[in-house]
Amino acid sequence: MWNVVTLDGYFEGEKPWDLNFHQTVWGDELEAYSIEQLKTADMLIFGGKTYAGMAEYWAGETGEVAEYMNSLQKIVCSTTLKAAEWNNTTIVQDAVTEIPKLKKEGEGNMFVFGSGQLSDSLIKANLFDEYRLCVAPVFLGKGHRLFDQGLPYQKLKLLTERPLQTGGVILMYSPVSD
Amino acid sequence: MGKLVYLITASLDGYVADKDGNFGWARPTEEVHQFVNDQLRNVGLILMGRNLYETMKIWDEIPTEGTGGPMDGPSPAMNDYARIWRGAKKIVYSKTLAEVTTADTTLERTFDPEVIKKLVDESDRDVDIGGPHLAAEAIKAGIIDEYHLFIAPVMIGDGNPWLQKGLQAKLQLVDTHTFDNGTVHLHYRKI
Repeated sequence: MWNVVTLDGYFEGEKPWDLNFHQTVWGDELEAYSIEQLKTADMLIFGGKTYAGMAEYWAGETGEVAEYMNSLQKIVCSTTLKAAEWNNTTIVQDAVTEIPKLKKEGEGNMFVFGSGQLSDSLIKANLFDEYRLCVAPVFLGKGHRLFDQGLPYQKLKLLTERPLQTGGVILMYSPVSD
Repeated sequence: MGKLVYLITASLDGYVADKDGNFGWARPTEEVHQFVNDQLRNVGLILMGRNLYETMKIWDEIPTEGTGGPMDGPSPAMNDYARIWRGAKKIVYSKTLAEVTTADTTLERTFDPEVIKKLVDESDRDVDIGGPHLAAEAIKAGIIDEYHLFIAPVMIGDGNPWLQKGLQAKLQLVDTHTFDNGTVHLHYRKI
């Protein structure tokens, strides 16, 4: 998982794609980090809503991040989507069954960006190997929470803590059994 | 001029206690506790809501040196915190509590941010505010100067959030620190 999240735990504002708070942490450091991260990826996984927004945004963009976003293999997890236009996309209906199979196939990292509902299912099924967050120095007050209420108790191991010049802090954890 | 400080331990998903009020997962190691004490060294007044007061009042009986008292140990960091606690005045905010039993403690029915702001400005020492509901009133009034968030390496799913809903702010990151047990300290300042 990779997400920018506010101190009060929101990954977007009340309206879908309200990501204004990203501006508080975005900069050269985070862009370099994103590129390093994408270099290790062999697959990107999205829920239907995030996929639609990402496809619309990145398909016409250029630059190093855009090249990775457009060329990497993508999975969209959706029970309703009939066709996916963005380059190199496969539609998967049952994420919790299919993602463990896909994990075994490739060597590279698989990233889930955004995709709140999908992330919830994957957390509940304990399918994330790492949680990577950039904590923005902001209280948003309202919006959509990254970690929904009612998720199971989960102990974590801290892997990395890295402050950025912008005031963001990158935190990486892996789940550990109690 | 003192500072108004909100220092708290939360889970990665932002809770200070689970929905049954349990916070055993947040119990600091000796290393974390010593570091927390160092942040609070200059505190001369502690502001608490009722729940936090009920949890904290045991510190009146924990010895400032050596062992004994109501809790096992206590460790050197606990002795050290007991000294900080004893050296500070306390105000408890509660509409329902009948009386307070600890030393140097007053009971107030309502929280007036302007009074506290003045008190902080006129004090040489810091003021520590605790309990997410009481802190929310101070955050709303924009009077908290420093935030010390300790993130415990755990997700607990539900409970009392360290930041109540509806609070808005942008802060400045001052520094960060990582502990052996995976706890992360994020230190922010009001802009």
